[in-house]
Amino acid sequence: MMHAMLLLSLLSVADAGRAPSDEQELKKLSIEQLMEIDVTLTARRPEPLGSAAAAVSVITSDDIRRAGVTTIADAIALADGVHVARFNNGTWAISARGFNQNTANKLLVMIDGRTVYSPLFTGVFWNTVDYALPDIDRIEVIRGPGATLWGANAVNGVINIVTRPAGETQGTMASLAAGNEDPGIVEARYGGGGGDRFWRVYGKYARRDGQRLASGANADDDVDRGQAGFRVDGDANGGDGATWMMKGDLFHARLGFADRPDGEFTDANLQGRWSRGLPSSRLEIGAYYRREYRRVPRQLTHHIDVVDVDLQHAFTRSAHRIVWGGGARVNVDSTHGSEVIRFDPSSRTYPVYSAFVQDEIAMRADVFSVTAGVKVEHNAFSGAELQPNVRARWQLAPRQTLWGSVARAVRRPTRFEDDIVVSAPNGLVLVRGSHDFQPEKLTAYEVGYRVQAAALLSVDVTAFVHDYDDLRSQEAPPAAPIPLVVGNTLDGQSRGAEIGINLQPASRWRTHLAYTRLHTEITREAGSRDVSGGASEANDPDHFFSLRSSLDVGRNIEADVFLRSIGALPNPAVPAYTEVNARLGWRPSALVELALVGQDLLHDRHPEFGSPGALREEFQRSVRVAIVLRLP
Amino acid sequence: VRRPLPLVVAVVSLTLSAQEVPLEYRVKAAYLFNFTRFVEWPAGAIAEGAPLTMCVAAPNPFGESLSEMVAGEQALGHPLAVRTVHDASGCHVLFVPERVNPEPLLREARTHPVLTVGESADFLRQGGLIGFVMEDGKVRFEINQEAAQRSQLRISSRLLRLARPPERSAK
Repeated sequence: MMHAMLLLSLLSVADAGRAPSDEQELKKLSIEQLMEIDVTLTARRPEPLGSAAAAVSVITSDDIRRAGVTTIADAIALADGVHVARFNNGTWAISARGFNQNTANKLLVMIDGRTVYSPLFTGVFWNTVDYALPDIDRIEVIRGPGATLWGANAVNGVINIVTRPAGETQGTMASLAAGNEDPGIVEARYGGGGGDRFWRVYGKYARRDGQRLASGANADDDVDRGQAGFRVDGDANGGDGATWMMKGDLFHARLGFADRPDGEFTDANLQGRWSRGLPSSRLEIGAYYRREYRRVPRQLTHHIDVVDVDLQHAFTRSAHRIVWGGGARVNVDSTHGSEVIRFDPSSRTYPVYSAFVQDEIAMRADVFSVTAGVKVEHNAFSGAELQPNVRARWQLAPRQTLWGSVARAVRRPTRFEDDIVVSAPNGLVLVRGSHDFQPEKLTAYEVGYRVQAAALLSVDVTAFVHDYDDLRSQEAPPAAPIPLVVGNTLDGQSRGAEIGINLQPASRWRTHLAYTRLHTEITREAGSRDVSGGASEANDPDHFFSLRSSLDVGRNIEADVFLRSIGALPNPAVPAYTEVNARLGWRPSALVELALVGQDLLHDRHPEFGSPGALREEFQRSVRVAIVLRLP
Repeated sequence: VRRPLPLVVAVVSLTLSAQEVPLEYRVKAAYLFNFTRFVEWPAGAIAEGAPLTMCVAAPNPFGESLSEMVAGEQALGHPLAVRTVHDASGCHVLFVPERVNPEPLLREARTHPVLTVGESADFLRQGGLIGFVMEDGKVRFEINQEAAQRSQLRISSRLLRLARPPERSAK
């Protein structure tokens, strides 16, 4: 009886700290206190700093605008702890927590919640991930596994690119840029509507010149890319909290090659979402269709149709905040291989089904909470996989959060491991996929500490150990030297620490500093016949660093610097490099913005990824001018 | 100015912390509640025993947040009430969300003493009294002194002092 009473009172205390009483706390704050609450992180309670129990960074639209980048892939480099390397004008290597490759396959990347990695290999064709940059609201980057809630492939991190609601992009926007490496970038948008429905349409076109090879020759990888799309946002009448959104985009690009005809890339999608948020619960239903088409001559041509539906429901019961949901996705692909690479069978349909539940328990309201969750995912290659996660968060003081997490995540098998056939031009099979390929498994341990030391200074530190089992290997056959067979006999570990510091030396001068220390190793399991040594799984710097400075001079001049410094890559070896983007912006009126932007200013040209030699691509210094016009 | 989170963001934010009304709007709701402490309406503007009516032009971005804050509260001896509205009649405080065109509402509000609060970039220029602005991720506000003087409302000097000097354009 005594115990029951104690438990009851604990629960009710916890309850008192949750939903309804939050408003009671909030309203007691003075205006001065309200003025200091940072509302940009999506925290539910009025905490001045993100208290999320995860390693999160948010890239704002302002960060993107002021960083001097022209692609989403390059903007990702603004996030703490993410290594972004260009391979050529059409290929990037992007990863958090190591295991970076130009075919990196352990990130979940979404635009407005729609998955954009290719189901073919669970990696992202970054050259097809595009949007009108001024209409991107922010990019949320979570390092470490988020598989329990976010789903398939959230192994090393989750990136969600969030576009602005149509109500926020009203009127006309036109932006033009031209420079020595980017002869033309044009973006235009018109937004209209009113009352409870808003819409926008937009289009963009960009051209980029071919870069150089190490030999000095033209890499001939010039790009033409264009995208058009729309978005409609609406509210159900009466403001009952129900909202809906529909959007669609069509992307097309052409990419040159030095040794073959041009490649061609198309991406099309249509997406809808409906949600209803009430004080104690939130329901959300979404669906999308996506088609990806890619043609690289003498390599691979494929298209994939993806249909996805998902549902999420979140509600509060006393000290418990429960989120559950599920989804189904069907991928249908059709591939046309070449003499060097093909898939057997050439066409395949592979659904993925998933369901998850998560409970966030406020052990002591607003002080200590534990979140436990599990996801079950069934895929057509290896069956059902369980992905559990436990997180704890301790609010040491109003502006100090300590958190920790243990999670398991899997990278499911794909056509690249199951069905691939790699041959020499003479027909000899070099590598063959295996239907026995198992998912790659990660157990991740993380701890983090976040403190807002003053309005001018905040620090975010994370340490992690990622243990990987059953990584992809290439097994020598018992007798002959070839064909190699794809296997699971490698283990790996990445460990390190990430630090992000916001420092505002003056009200008009903001700086951000990020430093990542990383150690990746891959070892062979007992009995392994692997011959790759993991060279196609990871190529990571042991540290990287970035510094951003945004200075407002007077009322309408902006001076920005974005410096990044990347340590050497071991295998294939890429030298360490430091590069700088700089931007000078001038707003003569609210309607016009002019900018002079320099990208990669420190060197004539430098490599970022790929094997040493005359054919490795190097990226050139670029300078451009840009003008943005806005009409209400 | 940051708008309510796009729906899809909730997919991510649900775990970061489950949230119903974005924090930005819960903070703005707390501001609105606070403003009633620093403003005086001319005698007779609020009928004896009638509530001080805080109107929110639809669509209401506050969910239940504002209603929960004002429940059981009084200002100047009047109970506080929250209403979601399509026009300004009967309002003492009127909040105009960014996606609503403020012009017709402000025109209507000019005929009687209404504390108009908005968040669109041009809200003050269009004749609004208090405009929320975002500064480094924080909610701050500007006051249109001229319109305040015209409106017969008395705004406390403390509130005027805390307001951000106008004209610095919001990001």
